[in-house]
Amino acid sequence: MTDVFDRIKAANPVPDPDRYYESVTGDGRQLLGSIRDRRDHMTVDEITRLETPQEPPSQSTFDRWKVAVVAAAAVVAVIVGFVAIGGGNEDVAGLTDLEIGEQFVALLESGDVAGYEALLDPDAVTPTGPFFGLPSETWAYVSGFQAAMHGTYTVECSETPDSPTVDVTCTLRDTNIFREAAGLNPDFQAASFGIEDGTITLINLGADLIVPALDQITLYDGWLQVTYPDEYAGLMAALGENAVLPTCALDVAGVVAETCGTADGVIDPFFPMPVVDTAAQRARHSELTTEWFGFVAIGGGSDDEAGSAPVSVVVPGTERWTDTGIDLSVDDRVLIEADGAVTPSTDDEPLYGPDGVPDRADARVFNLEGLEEANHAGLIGRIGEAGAPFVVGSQLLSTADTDGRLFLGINDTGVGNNDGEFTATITVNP
Amino acid sequence: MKPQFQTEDATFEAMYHRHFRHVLAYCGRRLPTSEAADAASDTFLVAWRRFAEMPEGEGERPWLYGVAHKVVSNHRRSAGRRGRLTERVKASRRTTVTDTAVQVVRAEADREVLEAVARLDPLDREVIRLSLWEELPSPQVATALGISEAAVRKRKSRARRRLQRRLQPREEFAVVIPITEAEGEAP
Repeated sequence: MTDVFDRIKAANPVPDPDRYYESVTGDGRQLLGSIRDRRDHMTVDEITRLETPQEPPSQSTFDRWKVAVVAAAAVVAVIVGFVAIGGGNEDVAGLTDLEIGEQFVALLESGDVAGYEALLDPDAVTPTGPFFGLPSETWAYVSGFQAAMHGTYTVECSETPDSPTVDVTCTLRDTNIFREAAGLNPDFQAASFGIEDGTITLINLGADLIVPALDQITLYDGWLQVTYPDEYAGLMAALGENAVLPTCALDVAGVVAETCGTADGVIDPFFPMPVVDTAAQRARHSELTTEWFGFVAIGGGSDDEAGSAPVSVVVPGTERWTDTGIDLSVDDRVLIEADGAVTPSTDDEPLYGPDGVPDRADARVFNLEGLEEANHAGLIGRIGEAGAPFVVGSQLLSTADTDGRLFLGINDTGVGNNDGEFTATITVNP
Repeated sequence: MKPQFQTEDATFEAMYHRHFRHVLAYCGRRLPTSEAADAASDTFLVAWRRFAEMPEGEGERPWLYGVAHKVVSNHRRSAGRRGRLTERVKASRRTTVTDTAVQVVRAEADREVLEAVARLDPLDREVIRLSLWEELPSPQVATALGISEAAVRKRKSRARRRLQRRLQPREEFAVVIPITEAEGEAP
């Protein structure tokens, strides 16, 4: 392979100074004369303009986001940008340590690779990149990811004069609709900087900053691989042809586009999923994906199928199963949304919503077979008298895998001491 | 110290003729052609005003490049222009290349390279350009930019790694991306 330096040499826009001179200047003597004339008649303003470095043009991070959002017209993005901070920093002279820290994080967020690398002392960074081995492109991707997630991302920085190692610490708070759908709290990360002579010499960024579900991410040189849970097989198959759109369209810094494209049919590695661990969260996730991409992410169905009117069914907490009166066919899409409250025991137990009793291993011993790990006393369903039970929770969008009557029930083997009821609204092929 | 038997203007003119074409080319590599002559002119205007500070001999041209570096930066900033890269790509098309298809491929390859270079840290970028386009040895690059030789070497090394990463994986990308962990290469 041709050495990269040879390629740069070959790309020299002006390889022959003599030919360029002939084509540009005409008579060089006249040019010298004009230089002499200017020298002899320069005003103080001209001297100042010529010999004083000028400030780089200001472009706020927020403006960059706005451009990105406009570019992705299909996405209704809500971006909370940072306080406007200029990009393209070639000269950090005169900034306080605090300002350097803030500027660094803002540039990081905006994907301005050149900008934040300009703040780094090249002698202090690791051989493979400034972030303890993480390639710079990854961080540009992070910004695209945040935008694609409809995310909000805020930072507060403060000086740490008492610390022997770091001068500025920034707290990064980020969240996004997928994260919220998955019931996850906003993510907090600390970024610390050691700063000497206007240059960052030490960085400590939490690796979890990359994505919420770090255990699903494998970092390679220049790109990320995302390993999806099996339950996303259908979603990923559907995303295969479309997944390049959000990150490419939402590119802010012109960097993500370099890597967002993949070979035909290959899963886009730049679209990680958050941790989703309940049926309701999966349903919400699916709903959001449908909203974004314009197709149903999980399950089949076609757009020209006629949808049924919503049917409301009361599910008593004291009944193991309730017949909804709805017959489903294979591949019917079903949207179930539920509210109400049930107590799994009248002995001083509180009421719980359709998502059931969270984080109670002692209660789960009373769950139905097949749903041992689900929340106790949550809303569940089955298709047919002998169908396998599945979690419904407060919301579920799924596809029927068999023909049969839809039943809803309570994930509790002993419903006799329960009280309360859920109300479920069921829409087939919404 | 300048020769005693020449006037300062005559000395400057001699220096001008030795270096102007190279400074003009320097500016032409970094600015649209329409601005290159102005930037070169500004460079020599500053040089004339600072002539007493200018080193002699082999140090002349790196010093001029150092002045030109600041002048070009000011031109870019004050103009706030867009599309400079496009301009340079257009300028990069060699008149010696006659075959249209080859020309297109050449321009595309140059565009890719120039974009990768443009995305480097500003100082790394200038180190690379001075080394490869102006063909300055590291000590003279250091003189032009006012940094140490060691810093020049480190920046060149770092820039080479980054450029390799940005330019080489593209052709491998489609075949390297693993879909499952089982198929993946070791990170």
